[in-house]
Formats: sequence, structure tokens, C-alpha cells
Amino acid sequence: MTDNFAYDPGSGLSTAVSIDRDDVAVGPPIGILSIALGAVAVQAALFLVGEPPAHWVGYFIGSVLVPVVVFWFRRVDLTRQRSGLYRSRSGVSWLPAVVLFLGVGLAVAHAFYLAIHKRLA
Amino acid sequence: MKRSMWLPLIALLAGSTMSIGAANAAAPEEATSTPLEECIAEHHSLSVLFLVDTSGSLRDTDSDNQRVTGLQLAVAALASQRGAEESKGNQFPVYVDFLSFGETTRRSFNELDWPTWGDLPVDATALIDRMGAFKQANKDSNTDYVSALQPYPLNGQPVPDQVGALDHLKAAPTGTCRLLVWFTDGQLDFDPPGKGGLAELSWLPGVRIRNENDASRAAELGRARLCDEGLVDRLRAGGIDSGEGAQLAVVALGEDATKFDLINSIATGGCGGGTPRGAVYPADNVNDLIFSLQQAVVGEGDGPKDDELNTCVGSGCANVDPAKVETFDYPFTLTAGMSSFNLVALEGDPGISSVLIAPDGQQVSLDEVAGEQTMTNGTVLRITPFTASPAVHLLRAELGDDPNQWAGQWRVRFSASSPSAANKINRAALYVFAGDLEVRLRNPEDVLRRKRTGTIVLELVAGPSRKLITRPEAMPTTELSLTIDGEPVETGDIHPDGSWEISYPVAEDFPNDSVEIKGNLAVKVQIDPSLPVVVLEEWPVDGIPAIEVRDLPKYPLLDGPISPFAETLSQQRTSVRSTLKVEAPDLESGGCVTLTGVDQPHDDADLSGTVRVFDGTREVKVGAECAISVAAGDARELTIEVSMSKGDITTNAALVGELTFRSVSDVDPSESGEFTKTIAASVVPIFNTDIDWMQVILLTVAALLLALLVLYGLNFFGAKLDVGPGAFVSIPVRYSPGLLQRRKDGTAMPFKVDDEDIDVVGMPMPGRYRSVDLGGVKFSRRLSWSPFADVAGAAKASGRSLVVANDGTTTKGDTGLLSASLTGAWVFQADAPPQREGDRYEPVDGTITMVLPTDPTLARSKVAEHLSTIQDRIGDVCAARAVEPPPPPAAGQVDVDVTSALDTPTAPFADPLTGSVPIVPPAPHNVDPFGGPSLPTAPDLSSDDDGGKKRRLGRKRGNDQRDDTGPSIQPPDLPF
Repeated sequence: MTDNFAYDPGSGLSTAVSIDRDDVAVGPPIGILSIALGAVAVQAALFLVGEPPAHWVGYFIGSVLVPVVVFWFRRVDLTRQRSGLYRSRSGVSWLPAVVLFLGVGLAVAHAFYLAIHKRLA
Repeated sequence: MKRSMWLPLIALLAGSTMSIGAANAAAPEEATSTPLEECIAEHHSLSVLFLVDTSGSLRDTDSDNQRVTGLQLAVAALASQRGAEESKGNQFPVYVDFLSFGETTRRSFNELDWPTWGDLPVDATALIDRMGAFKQANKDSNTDYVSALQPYPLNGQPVPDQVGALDHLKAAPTGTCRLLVWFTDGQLDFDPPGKGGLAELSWLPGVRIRNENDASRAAELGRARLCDEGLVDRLRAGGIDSGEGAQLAVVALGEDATKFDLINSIATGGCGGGTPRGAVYPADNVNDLIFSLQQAVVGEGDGPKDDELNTCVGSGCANVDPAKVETFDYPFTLTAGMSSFNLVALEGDPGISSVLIAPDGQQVSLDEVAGEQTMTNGTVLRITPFTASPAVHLLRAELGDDPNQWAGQWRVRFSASSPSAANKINRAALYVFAGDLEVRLRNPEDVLRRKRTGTIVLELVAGPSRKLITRPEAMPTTELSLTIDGEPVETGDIHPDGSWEISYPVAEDFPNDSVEIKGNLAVKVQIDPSLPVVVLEEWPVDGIPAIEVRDLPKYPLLDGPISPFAETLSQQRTSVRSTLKVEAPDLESGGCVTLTGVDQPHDDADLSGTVRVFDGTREVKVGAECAISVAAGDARELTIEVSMSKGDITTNAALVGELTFRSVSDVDPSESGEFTKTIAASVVPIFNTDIDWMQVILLTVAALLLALLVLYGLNFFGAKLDVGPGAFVSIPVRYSPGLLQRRKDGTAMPFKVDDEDIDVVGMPMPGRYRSVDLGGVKFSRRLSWSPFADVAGAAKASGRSLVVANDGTTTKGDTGLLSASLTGAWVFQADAPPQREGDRYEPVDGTITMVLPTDPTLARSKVAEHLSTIQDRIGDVCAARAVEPPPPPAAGQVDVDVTSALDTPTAPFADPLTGSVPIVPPAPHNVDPFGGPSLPTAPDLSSDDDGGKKRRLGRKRGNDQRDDTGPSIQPPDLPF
């Protein structure tokens, strides 16, 4: 829980800070980001199936699941950033955006395949 | 015509090191076959006795119990082979039983677990599960070959509870072919009692074994009993369908070949007399053991003999070049005439996976599929799961009805993602089962005419549905030898459309009314280029009906079929044409032809068409007498036109109808004949593939909106204030530029927090809330327009136009800004906006609400620590939001100074810790209210005071980079 007074995490005067402080430095929740990456990978793999149900699944993974997971990542990451013991990792800051846009982009690609229709001439 | 080929079960089953491919590759007279193959060909049944070593050395040589997996696989493969035969309607009973030998020899299972010589079911799952008990059978101290065959003296009586292989083979079901599968990991060997061995052997009564010398002597006696005293000879005596005789398959586990000299000589000769009938399947290590055991039972198979396969590593393994066989592929080619195959695949490492790849490119992972699966080419796969590491797969595949769909090159590919598996060796074996092939007349109503050379068209069909074989890949190499009325005729090669055309001249004086066609069909298959061509046993061609022979009539003939339509019907082509030959070949065969009947073409559903017949450009109407006139010696082609008349073309279909003609002679009108011709026109719809761009746009917008909606929704429902343990205070204060003072009884005094100020009761329980009321201040969550922004907090106080909190205030100034956590929150609510006075502004009264620890000492420390920050923040906001004083009163009004003593910061500064009240000058506010060092003078709004600027900047750096420059709202904390 954030202490609005906790400008100096080392002061020791803030009970809230001292309660919430984790002695181990924390970084971005890479595990959650991995889930998002995995979802995007599944989304890409669904192109190989090629059937409309697979394209619908790929579409919803990109437009719903990936944003949810990226949001989850962001929430946990912000919470950790407020803890005062946050250690950022290079490259991770832009990765969620890439994953999100990749997911939505692949969803659009799945939509393209869903819009291909075989009709009697 | 129908004939079943017994590819594996006759020629492949066990004990033979020669597969059916090798056996049949040579001409039949050169083929060799084992006694077991000959016996199975005669009896169509099998009894397999597994004689399994249970010596303690297995704990070292086979600590992973691979022998058990091998035995289970062997039984499963045997059951699967039986299933393959029975699926074709062939009876092939298989009986199995198990003996365990070590110190003694007993049945491995009691009657309840597995009956003596039990009938092996096609689904052998229950037995395979029970066979897991062999994992614990590895504790005997001896490896007693003598006891394994007969655990009592040569002329003695059987020992209770013990049974040797010879007696057990004798008890096998009558008339079945016997196979003894003998597994051992060691030589004939006895331990003395001091090492856990027996003091007396059941087949050597009265002889005490006391030490190593006695044990060695017993081994010598045992060797003599086996080889010199006739024990092994009994295994070789007589046939293998009765008595003690059996084909022997030895599976020897171990690298030291000298250890197995005796068991080798029992199997292949050198021990005892008579003709040996056995083979040895060595397994240098446990990885070979599984394969050796299953091959000992069901043979080497029909697939490539180079069955040690590499592993493909990397992502490119899924790409298959149909023209190239890699070293990690196990290839095999299937053609018409086959009905099913069994496949065994052993992966060399747990990280390796195996995939079955069909000729059309479909890939089925053997690791991921269990149970039954139908491939797109109609082949039904049944995969028996095995619990083994590395994985072992037994696949039974029943090929679909149409060989044109599945014929071609199949392969099993082994691949892994990790380079560490690259040097692992995999194994595979294939067992192919033959199906049905049939030669039949293409047009059963064809007739031959005297004085003419007729054409007989035969075609090759396969499977229960009699599918015509048309694809070159599906066509086996065939040799058709025919006789017509006993005379050999030239057949030529089969055509690409699966037919043979045989020309047959009929003499004018041909005496019979029909001809009879007999013959044989020889089929050659080649599973892989590395294997020899297998010439299968010939099929007799004996089901073709006799073909009628007639004289040339005295009327025109319409003997030939309607030619195939060159084009197909579709939505765009609603009419197609073909031809029908009409001729008057003889001098007296001129006449006329009448179209007597039309069965309009139609399909099985709702499609139908209309047929019209043209003689040149003139349409021939139904019933129009003698509409087609043909002079003697003339011949021409009628045009047959089929037009769509009803129904929507949506799928492939065939319109089938009939035309009936009557032909009448000019010379003798009493001479006439009927001709019925079948019409078959194909319907193939034309499809267009188009892209609905509107749908693309809608789905794209929906995807973006969905994503935004998800983010906003989660923000909305997840955004709450964090309330931690603590208390709050709500204290009237006065803020003079740079100085926050407490107001008490109308008097301003140094700011301090008294014990009685701390309100614990009014503080909500720790948790997360959408809004919280503390001391008249409503704290609530604050959402940003950015869906990615962090949730923040806002504070409002009823009736207050200026509210400042930890992070400043809003543009309007009536809402304080702070984070979403209330711990350490403070809110200053001004009673009225500060009034500007020259470069400064008037002191402002108001109330400050702070969330603090419940402990008063800690609370005061907290306040002392952060008071200057609070003062700066309030000061910055007040300076920015100071308003001009009201205009001076108009003439006639009295100018009243409303500033009261209470509102003037003249009260003495109190020491918050001591409560002392020193007397100090009332202004200016340059003294630390807590008794600290002097504070800078309140900032001059018109100029930047260097001291104050430095102080703020210094704190800014120490304040976790917070923006401390004024009341502006912090920009949304974007995530990226």
C-alpha cells in the first residue's frame, strides 16, 4: 500500500512503508508478460489451423485476452513501482505495448481471414 | 476374384529373420519360409509362450524395466495384428501364456489374472496392465535354463507348482502353431547358498550345492542336460502344431556376446541335435530391448530395414519435401491392394516427438493423439498408448475405402526442439496388411460381333466399395494374364484410368454364343526403393461374366458407349455435349434408328436435366419413327446434349440417365434390336472467393473497441482507494505565506497535533473503497482518460472552493489531488480563496485533514517530517490562486477593516513538543514553528527567491522525483 508521505523510503518513520516493504528488490512481473506473449504465440499458431473457428479464437485472444493480460501486467507493475524497491529492467517498458499492438494486429489479421468468403459464382 | 493377402501374419510372424518382403521378393519357387510361416499358412492360428528371465541381475541390466515395456508392446502388437486380420473377416485365434524362470519355473500369472493359454483379445489393455507385474520379478539368484525347459529330472515326475516350457507347449491349444519367446539377460548360472542360491536343484535331486565349485559343476551338468541329454532336441522334434516342438525366438539382453553362447546354440544350432528352428534377437542395451522383443514376436516387418533413424532438430522439421526422404524419416509407400498397416515407433529420447505424415501432407503427432482419429484421406488411426520413457507408439491404421485418396509415400518423422537430441537414434517398424483387388468388366452389357474385332474393357477396382483406381500413385504394378475361351490374349499395360483394353477378333464362323474370360492378376508392391519388389500371390480372375457373341445384324448398330462429356456442368455452363456412334458396317445392315425412350438425367438429390439427341443439326424427337437413317456401310456420330433443367448447383454431383434406341433393318424390317445407353454428366459448381471489406473494417474497429473497452472496464471496476491501518485528524488551520499554523479559540498558534485530535473511530477499516469520508472530506478514486493510467485519488470538501492535497489541486482548484492510497494523505480546505495583497496574499483560514498513524508520537513525527512540504504545496497553490481583493467601496460607503485580531498571525508560536509559549514578534513568518532553524521568508510572488527555489528543488530531488512546482495535475502515468 502506498504511503503518500513515503518520499524517502529509508526514513523508517512510516509504518505503512515499513509494513509493506519487501526486503527483496522487485522488478516487472515478467511472468504475466510471458502469458501475454504466449497468448500472442497461440494467436499466431491458429493461422496454421486455418478454419473459421480457429480464426474466431485468434480474434478474441487478440482483442480481449491480450489487453486483459497487459492490463494485469500494468497494474502489478505499477504496484511494484510504488513499493520503493522497484528495479526496472531494460526493454520491458516497451514490451507490453508491443505485445498489445501485436495482439490487436493479429486479431485484425484473423478478421481478414474471417472476411474471406467462398461463394458460388 | 476377391482374394485376401496375408501379408504379415503368414510370412512375418515371429521367429523368422526374413520378412515377407524378402520372402516374396524372389520368385515363388525360390522363396524360403520358416516352419512357423508354413504352419500359420496351414492352421491360421498361433500360440505364443513368453519365457521370461526373473534373475536378480535384471536390477542392474534393466533397472528401468524396459523389458516390461517390450513385452507389453509385443503383446499389443500381436493383438493389433489379430485385429487387423479380423477386421477383414479372417479368423486368426492367438493364444498366449507366460512363464517366469530363475531359480524355478512357474506360470507368471495365476488363473484369475490370466488363464492358462488364454485367448488374446484384440483389446488387450487388461492383460497389458497386468504385465506390469514383471517389474517386480527380478529377484531370483539363479538363471536356470534347465528348469526353464523342464524343472524336474528327465525321467522324473513334475514338481508341484512348477512347470517347464516343454510341458507347457505340449498343453497349448491343439492345432495351433507354437512360438517360444525366450528372454534372458544372462548365461546358465547358479549361485551357492552362501550367495542366496539354492542348496538343491529340482532337476538334480540329491545333489547338494555347498560352494562355488559345486555351483560351477551344476552349471556343467545343466549344459549337458540341455545339449547332450536331449532336452533341447525335444524342442526341435516333430512339427510345431502339436507336442513340445516350437519355433524359438531368443531375446538376449547384454553386450557380452560370449555370455550367450549357450542360448544362441539352443536357438540356432550347436547345442543338441536335430534341425534348429530359432533365431536370436540381440539387444546390446535396454534401448534395443523393446524393439527386439516386439520383433521377436511379430517379426521385422515390411518397412525399410534401415530402421535406426536420426532426429531432426529445429523449427523447419515441419516442412516436408515430398520428393526427398531425410535421414530422420521412416518412409513407406502404399498402393491399392493394401487395407491397413501397423506401425511401431520408438523415440530415442523423451525430448523427441514423432509425426505420421500422409502423402497429402497431413501430419498427425503420435505423441498427442490417443484413441481413434480419422485422417482427411479416410484412414482411421488407432493409437495404443504406452507408459514408457522415451515414448513408444503402436499405431494401427485402417486405410480408407478409396486408394486414390491415401496411396503414395507416407513417412514417420522424428524431431526435437533441443539440439541435445540430435544424436539420438529412433526406431520404427511397419507391418502392412493386404486388401482386396478385383478385375471387372467396365461395361457388362457389351457384346462381341462375328466378323468384327471387338473391344473388351476391364478395369481394376479396390476395397469393399470397389473404387476405380485412377491415380498413378495408387496403382500397384500389375500383370494381367487372360485367356478367352482358353486362348491366351494380349492385355497390354494398364491405362492411367485404371483399365485394360483388349481387342478380340471374332471370326464369321465363331461357333459359340459367348466367350468366357479367365486369368490371373499378379500384383507387385514395393514399400520402399530400398526394399525389393514383392510379388504377391496371384489373384485368379474368375468372376467376369461371359460376354455374348452375336452375328452382325441386318440393322444399324449402336454398340459403343456415349463418349465422356468433355466438359462439366456448372452455374455458368448449363449445357454439355457428347457423341454416340451409329454405324451400319455390313452390306445388309442399313436401316433406321428410333429414339424410343428417355430417362431424363438426374442426381440423388434435387438436380435434374434434359437430354436431347441430334443427328447432325436435326433434333431427334422421342418416338419419331426412323428419325435416324443409316445406309449400309455408313457410320456417323449422333450428338447427345444434356442441359440443366432444375435445381441449384451447390455441390459436386452427377446427372445419370438413359437413352433407349430401336434399330430396324431396311432389308428385312423384322430384324431389329434394342440399345440402351447410359448418360453420365458431371456437375461441378464454380466458386468465387471474395473478401468482404466491410466485414474486415467492422471486425477491425470492433477489435480496437473491444481492447479499449476491456481496458476502460477493468480500470473502472478495479479502481479503488487503498485504506490502510491508521487514524485521521481534522484541524482548523491558518496558512500565512510559508507558514501553516493551528487555529484554536480564534488564535493562531504553531501547528501541532494533540492526542485528542486523533480520531481512530471515524477511520474506516483497512481495505479498498470507492470513496471514504473523513472529517468532512470526501476522498474518492479518480479515473484518467488514458486507459493505461494509474488510478489516483481525489478529495473534495463541501462548500470549499480551494482544496489542496498531496499532489496539488485541479485546474478549478476545488478538488485536491493525491494517490489512490490514503496512508499519509493530507487535504487542506480553504474557507475562502486567498486575497492578493500587492506581491503577496492574505493569510488563508481553513481546515487540514491528515491520515496519520494511530500512535500520537509517530503521528507527530510524521507531521514534523513533512510539514514543510505541506506548507510549500499549499503555498504554491495559494500563490497561484490568490484573487484580487474586492474593489474599494463606492463613495458614501464606510471603509471597514474586517481583519480581526483572530485573523492576524500575532499569536505566539508554541513549541509543539514542550507546550511552552515564547513571546516573539508577531510577524514576519520566518521562524520554524517546531523550533527548528530559521525558515526562509515567505516567497515573494513577484520574484523567485533563490533560497526558496533551492529548498524546493532540493526537496524535489529528495521527493522521489515528484513535481513540486504547483497545483497542476500530474500528467497521466502512461504505462509505456
